[in-house]
Amino acid sequence: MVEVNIEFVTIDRNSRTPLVVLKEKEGESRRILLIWIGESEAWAIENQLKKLSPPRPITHDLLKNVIDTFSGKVNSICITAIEDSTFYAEVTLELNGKTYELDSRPSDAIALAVRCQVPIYVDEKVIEENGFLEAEVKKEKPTKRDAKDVLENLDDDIAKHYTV
Amino acid sequence: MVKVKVDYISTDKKSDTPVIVLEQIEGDPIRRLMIWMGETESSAISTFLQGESTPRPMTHDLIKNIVDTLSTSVYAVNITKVEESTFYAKLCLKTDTQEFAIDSRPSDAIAVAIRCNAPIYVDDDVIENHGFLEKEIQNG
Repeated sequence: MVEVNIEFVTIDRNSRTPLVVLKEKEGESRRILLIWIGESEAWAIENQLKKLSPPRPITHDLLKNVIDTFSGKVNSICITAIEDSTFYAEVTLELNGKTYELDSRPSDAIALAVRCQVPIYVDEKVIEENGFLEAEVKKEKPTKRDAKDVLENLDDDIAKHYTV
Repeated sequence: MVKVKVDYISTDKKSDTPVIVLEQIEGDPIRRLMIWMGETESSAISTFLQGESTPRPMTHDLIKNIVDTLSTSVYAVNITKVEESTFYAKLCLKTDTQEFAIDSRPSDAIAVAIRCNAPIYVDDDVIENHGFLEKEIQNG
């Protein structure tokens, strides 16, 4: 497992779908992983990253409040697998000394992780097969065509705006 | 408190916003209550009511899974008040020994409640001031 940071959340202009850009936290050549997500989940992640507090708790705030109420603790989340272009994630929850792994979409898990300020991990095999280096994209030798499309289509202003 | 059920979900054509219509289960006359909500929450409610299953757990499914993991249960949802046109709700959970009421938007609370087979209640003042009768609509 490798730990990643959220680089930013933006919109893929080709598919008009929000995506979250994750980047390896440590190491000399840090790989990037792109995950396309739903609009409300993107909004839930951004809201928290920008430390905006909506007037009413949004769904992921409720999720965290439920966990807090019962003295549960989110230890970390992990992007565990990819099958048929769908990423899978797990939320590691601790309660009364026991640890539970809960199946989740990556978007929900990330929205929860930023609220609980816990690490985000990616399975080594997932980042090995689906991650890429920024340098590879710049040299126009991308490992993933999608990634090249996305990065070339990123609105610089938006990218800057969401960089955290 | 009056017990209600989800009557139907629709889109308010004027504001292009999803709206949920709750209907009183008991009592006479039977009043209804409309609550406007977000698209994702409306879809989370209608998907479940239509018995559709999604390939991956949606956010409210994750909440239910977490509630189950925490060995607690959702025993009710209360729509408690309206302030400046915003409805407030409480998601009521209990363990063997304790009860908790967590602040929530009605849409999220209802989306969780239906997944947990929990009843939905509306505060008397809320249904009194914001509920309506079918004939009131028909009479304009």
